[in-house]
Amino acid sequence: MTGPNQTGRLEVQPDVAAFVAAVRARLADLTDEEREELLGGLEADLSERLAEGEADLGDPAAYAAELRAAAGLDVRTGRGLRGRLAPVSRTPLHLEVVGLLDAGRRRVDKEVGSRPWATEAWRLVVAVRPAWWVLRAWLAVELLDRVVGPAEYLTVMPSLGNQVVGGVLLLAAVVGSVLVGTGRLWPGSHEGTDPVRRLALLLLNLVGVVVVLPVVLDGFPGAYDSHALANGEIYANASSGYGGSGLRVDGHFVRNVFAYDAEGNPLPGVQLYDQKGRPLEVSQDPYLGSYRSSGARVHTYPWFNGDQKLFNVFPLPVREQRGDQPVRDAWVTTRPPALPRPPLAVVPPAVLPTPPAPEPQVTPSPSASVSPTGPASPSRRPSTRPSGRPSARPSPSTDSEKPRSR
Amino acid sequence: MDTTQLLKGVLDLAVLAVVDDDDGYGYDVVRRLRAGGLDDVGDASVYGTLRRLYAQGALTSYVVPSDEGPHRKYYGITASGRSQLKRQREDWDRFSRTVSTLLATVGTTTERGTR
Repeated sequence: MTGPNQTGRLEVQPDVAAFVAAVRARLADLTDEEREELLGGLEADLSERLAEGEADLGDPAAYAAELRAAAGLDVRTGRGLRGRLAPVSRTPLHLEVVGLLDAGRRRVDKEVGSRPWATEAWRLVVAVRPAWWVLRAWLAVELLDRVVGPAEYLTVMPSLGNQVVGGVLLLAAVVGSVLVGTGRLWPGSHEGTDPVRRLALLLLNLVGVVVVLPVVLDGFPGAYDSHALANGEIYANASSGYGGSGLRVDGHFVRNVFAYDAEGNPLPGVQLYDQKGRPLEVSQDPYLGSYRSSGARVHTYPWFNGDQKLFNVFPLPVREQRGDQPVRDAWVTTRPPALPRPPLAVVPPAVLPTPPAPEPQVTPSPSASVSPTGPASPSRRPSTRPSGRPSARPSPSTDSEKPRSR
Repeated sequence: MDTTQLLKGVLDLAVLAVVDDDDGYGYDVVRRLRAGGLDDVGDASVYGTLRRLYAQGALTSYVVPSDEGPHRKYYGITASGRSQLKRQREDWDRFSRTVSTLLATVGTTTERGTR
């Protein structure tokens, strides 16, 4: 019951309306009739008091107590059937909560009012309140995106896997949030309304700032990542020296390798070694393990030989996840890593030139490379320069290797 | 002495007397009480009292619409209110006379005793 009472009209000064609402909240345990009887004409009277130059209406709690005492209506009289049927709204806790909230509000008002700079700042804060309404709507949608959306970094415009869905949801959330902010939608509140609403709103706003905001911000790529994302590759520039050793193509680290047989069909589980028998490993730097694959962000995980991680067996299993670090127990989670779908379903078959004279033994030449033509695959002749130091064997330095591989 | 305690006992009477003099809305009654010398009277006490007297049937109320601001709720006295006023006025007269007499007598006694 927050509407204007029958004897009040709306062109009442806002502080008078707030004061009456606050008093009304403290009379919540009375019947409607009793309450309206007490409050009827109060707005007019208070307005008159203010008009006469009275600066302050005082404490609504004390006012309500005085009103009650004089009217012979004690708190929690429990009179009548109504009282027994609706005990919830009559608990002293209910009134206590209202009192606490109001006291907090009054305290802020007082503190703010006593300092000119704070008054000015507070006015500004109140003025930009609608910005918070929009922000919290955006936070809610981003949170939804983070929780149920695809395992991808969050974007400023929430996508939820579909730009239209994200946009529509954001719009709806903003409208809802503004309605709540203006008190038109539950739990919109102001001084004097039901304490449950006020508490609910207070709590939601608090959770929004303290919990949701960090969670959502954490879902965005860091500044470092953003820079790399803008450049198309994360930490993939070999010249930066970052990422240590690993397979590279044209200066970029190779994240995963897809092998096809001579007929052009994908080969899962291929172990690669170079001409000296050294494993051809991709970089083991965890930050290089994540990349985008068909719209989602995936992270690579190695094959195993016993406890030994093998980064030269391809394709590396991948797992959809947001973070750019491998998850420690990824294999025992509900979504273990799985072999990714090759970027190309099939590639053109490859054949060796058939020599006119029948030769029983054909020595495979390294130059007979499979060269798929799809744009997504490393189609150029890979200049594989394994500079990784497999634990087992020593290998020559990268520099001495370079001229030979070209 | 805290006059608010004294006031409590006679607020019904005072409010009835003011409203009997002329109908009034809440703050108007407060103002007239203050003008009459009851400076300490709290408006919430007066409103509460008006409400209680109304609930007892001593007062009637009616709403006067206003073009400028909120409507005003006026109170007027009823026949039952008038008889209550009459009764309480007599009670008060008797009581105040008694107390005054008592104070005067005790005062003279004390004076005599100190001589």
